[in-house]
Amino acid sequence: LKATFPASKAEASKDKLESEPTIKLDIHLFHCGQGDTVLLNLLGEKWVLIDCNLPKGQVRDEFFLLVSSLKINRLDLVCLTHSHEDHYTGMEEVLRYFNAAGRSVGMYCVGAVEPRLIHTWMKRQNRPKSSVLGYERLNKYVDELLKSKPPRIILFSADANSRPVIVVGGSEEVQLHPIAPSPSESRTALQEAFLFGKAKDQLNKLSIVLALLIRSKKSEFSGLLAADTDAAGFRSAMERLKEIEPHRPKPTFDFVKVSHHGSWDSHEGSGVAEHHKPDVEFVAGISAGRIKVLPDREVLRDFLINNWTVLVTTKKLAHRKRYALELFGQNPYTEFQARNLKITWSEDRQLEWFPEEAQISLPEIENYQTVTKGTQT
Amino acid sequence: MEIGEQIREHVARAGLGQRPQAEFQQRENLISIRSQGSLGKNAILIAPHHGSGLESSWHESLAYVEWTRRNLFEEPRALLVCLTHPHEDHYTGLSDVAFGPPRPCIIESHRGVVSDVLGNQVEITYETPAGPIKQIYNREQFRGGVIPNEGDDVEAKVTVSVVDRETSEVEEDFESDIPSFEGRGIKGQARI
Repeated sequence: LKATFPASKAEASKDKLESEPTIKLDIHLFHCGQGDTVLLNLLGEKWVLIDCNLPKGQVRDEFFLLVSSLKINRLDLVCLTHSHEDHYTGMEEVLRYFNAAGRSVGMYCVGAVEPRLIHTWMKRQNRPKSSVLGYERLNKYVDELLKSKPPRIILFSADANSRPVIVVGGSEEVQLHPIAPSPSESRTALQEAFLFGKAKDQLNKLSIVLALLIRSKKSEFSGLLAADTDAAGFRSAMERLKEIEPHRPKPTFDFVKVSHHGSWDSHEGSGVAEHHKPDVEFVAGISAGRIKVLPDREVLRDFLINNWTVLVTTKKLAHRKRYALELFGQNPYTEFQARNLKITWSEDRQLEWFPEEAQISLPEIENYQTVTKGTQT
Repeated sequence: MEIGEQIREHVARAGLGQRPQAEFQQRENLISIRSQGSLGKNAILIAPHHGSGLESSWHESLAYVEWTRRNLFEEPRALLVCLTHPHEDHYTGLSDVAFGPPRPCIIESHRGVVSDVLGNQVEITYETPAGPIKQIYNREQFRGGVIPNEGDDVEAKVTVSVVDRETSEVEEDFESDIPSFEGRGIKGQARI
């Protein structure tokens, strides 16, 4: 005789896991100093790179080691949120790496403002020649990829009016929704920049802000990748999000990559600090500043007082006793070592991160040197 | 009607070539607007201040700059420059996109009271529906360089002028050999 017993709870759960793929996200915040290198693994299948600050040498090498260890052979989406060098340094090399040896890139997302206009602007601003040249080379390589037959990359020009990028994995999907800047904000920033010349740097205002949304029957997730947008951009993004999801009058996020490395100018009077402040349930990810200025202590304090769980890629640099000296003289790239802060979310709404010590607390920030609003770069 | 709406209506009429006859009186003569020109598409809007200049925060308090940004800038051929003084230094950068003399379009008058005088600096308080706004001005911002006394009523005048543009788009003046990406992006829904 063969007795049949009901499956144990664990077995049933295992069967369920095997039959229904788990909705999960991995967010890698690669420590690259003041700058963003955000690598997303969506639904366990798709890889998305949001910006990169990978100067030649140790940091870039360690990024490619990470890519290799994660066995990433295809970047489904590469997004350049805006044209500051701490967001595109090394991006050309990343695109070249993924367009060789059987690897590939799917889509390349940039702002709706023409790169050649940005390039013109950068020249007029007398930005460092290496930065201007790096931007030029990146865009010419993208042009080359677009011109090849068949095209080796798909261009996606994004602003707040764009439809979302739908990331599909199994029966689930994730939306990457551009929610700022609006076309009129971009035009305003450009026109003011050209008229005021060197006096104003408006590139941060052109930052693409992305909402990372899962709206599954099984579970929901809301993430915000705020790039370097300023206070006005943040407000605008929140308003746009409310238009997209009118049944959610107050945005709530499970995860936020805070804007502009936690700077005061992206915070003061902004959507984060005042009445547009979203509810953030779990985590704010911040890349620590290369010049030991960012994130700003008062910004961190505000987050912590609001009971956010705040993660920084490293605390070592946050103790910035000699930041002024470094600001005015030393090579800012020499001190830090790249390391990867990994944040994982799965459908049971649990956020975990590694290394655990990335979480920062109120007492820890008391020894930070204060950077006043006026002196922040 | 909100001030922003009044200005919007005013400029919208001007944009259509109409010449509004009415002078808008608002908030106990705090602001008056008069049309003296037309605002066409091929125009740059310049807001130089005459006499005792007003700072941008004052304009922002009236939602004036915000309104202009949101509405005029929808029209790519219209640009706004807010100036604290009608000094030629402030026109630097306009020479390649503008030609012809500025034509006055809107004249505003703001009334306030001198609340403090300290040396060459004068604090003027403006009563607004949102509460008092204090602005500090220097001697050279007053007509003839004469500083008023504490308690004096003063009037600040703002003229919004229109300057025709030679080129239709600032963006046309490229100094870059990066190829254009325009029209090369994905159309429709992006899926990965």
